[in-house]
Amino acid sequence: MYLTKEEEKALDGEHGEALSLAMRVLCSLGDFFEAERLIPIQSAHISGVSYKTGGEALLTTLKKFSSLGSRALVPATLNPGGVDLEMWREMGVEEKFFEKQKEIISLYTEMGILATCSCTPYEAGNIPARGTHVSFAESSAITFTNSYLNARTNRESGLSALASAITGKTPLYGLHLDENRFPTVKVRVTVALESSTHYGALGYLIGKSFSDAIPLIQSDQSLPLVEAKHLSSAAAASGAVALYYWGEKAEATKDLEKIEVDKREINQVFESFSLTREPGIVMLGCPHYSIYELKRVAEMVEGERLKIPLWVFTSRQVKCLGERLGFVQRIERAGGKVFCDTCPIVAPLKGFDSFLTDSAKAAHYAPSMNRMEAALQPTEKCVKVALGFKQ
Amino acid sequence: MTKIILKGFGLKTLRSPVAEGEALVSEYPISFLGNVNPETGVIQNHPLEGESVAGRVLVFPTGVGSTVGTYVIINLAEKGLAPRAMIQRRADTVTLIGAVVAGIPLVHRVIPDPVESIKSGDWVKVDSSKGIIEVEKKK
Repeated sequence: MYLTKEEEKALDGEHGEALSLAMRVLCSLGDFFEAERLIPIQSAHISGVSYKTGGEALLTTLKKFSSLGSRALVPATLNPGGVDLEMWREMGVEEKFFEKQKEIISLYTEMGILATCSCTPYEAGNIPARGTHVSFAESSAITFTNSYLNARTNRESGLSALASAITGKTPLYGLHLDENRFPTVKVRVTVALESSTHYGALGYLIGKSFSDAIPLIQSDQSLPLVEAKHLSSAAAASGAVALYYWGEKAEATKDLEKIEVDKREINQVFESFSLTREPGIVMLGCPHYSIYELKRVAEMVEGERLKIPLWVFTSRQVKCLGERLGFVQRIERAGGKVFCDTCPIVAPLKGFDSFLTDSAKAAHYAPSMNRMEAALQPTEKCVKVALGFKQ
Repeated sequence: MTKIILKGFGLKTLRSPVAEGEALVSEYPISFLGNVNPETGVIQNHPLEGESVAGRVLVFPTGVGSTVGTYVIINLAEKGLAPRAMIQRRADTVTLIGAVVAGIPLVHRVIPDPVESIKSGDWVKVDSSKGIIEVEKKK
């Protein structure tokens, strides 16, 4: 990979060990994927925050970067960690874990990275503009950014996104280049997608079937933000879909492998997640709920009493707004909880062996990440179950 | 004993680019977060459930799922439970950065297709700097 004189100096340590370390990460990446050069990025979003998923390797890595005096050169936000930093005791998390989690977040903060602790950076002001280059980790946000915002990012690792935040650069390869952004498979959807969870089920099916392809999804339906979020997150969990197109893209559609998705296949995704017992808890908010999703749940539980615990995960900024608008209070009055800074996958949840969710991504990771069975249902049905209606 | 040679594009910047071990071949992609138990190196919720990646030459199409997989690979390496080498049809950034930090030889874009031509149990020697893979077939 070609480096400018300044970049070579940075790599050689003339601008300090911090930049040198970050440059070494980016050079390994760029050389391996035969990038021509480095390009500037507008912002970064960094994963690798929960002590549960990152473990000691994450702490060691962050201490190394931090001790060398690393600082983010571009705006950078952070993924969820393992606990709600205010309500962690209510999650049943041990103090030792909380302390490790606080340490990780402090290390990021010392490096000038905003501890937004959310998988929806586009809800926290990190909204890449159309056509711009960014370095995003968090699989769902990558897919959302490429597909819905039309900005450009590769599927960065948490560590390469950190190196990009420190240098303000990323290697020019993969999805940063026009020639790699054409659809590679056509998916015709012949079923009406009735809820955001159905969009998630579609994404789950596509990710599982095509791994890292670029699908052109043809549907008569529109793709609102919440639905795009669920589609993106599921396709990037069961597979490595980093970019999809919704609607027609005529010039590139010749000779593409084509599949049809009908009602039966969408139903099969729902059926592939099943419980052998009644759900112990209902968990919503993977990816983090938007204010509209929070409002909807608040309206459904208003004046009711929950029979099964209901936990809703969202970002801090959405929760603050939800408190001002009374949504959080309505959920709490019904007996539910609204958590921030973490999610059903990266939190070390104890005391439950089964859950119901409206998120295909959460259902996918549940067995391995929390040793829990999971079932998948649209939001409305999830809330009804939590209120005691029989399934 | 039949021996075949595969050629691909390898990670060149490692201090020890050569490694060998028994192959573990997956025809399905792997998400290191979720599919590999970070405490034991054993594969879970995946068609290869119950197999250990520790000390094996792991052959798989590509990495999928979480971008935190990099830290899972580094954690495995620190516990001595990482694969000795990795061979992918198409490398992904999450696996690559894990290999760079943990010093694991990695080769991708291999001809002939490694997922088809290597079987679990074959003895595989990987030279990441040259992109050369020597396979001693089990039978």
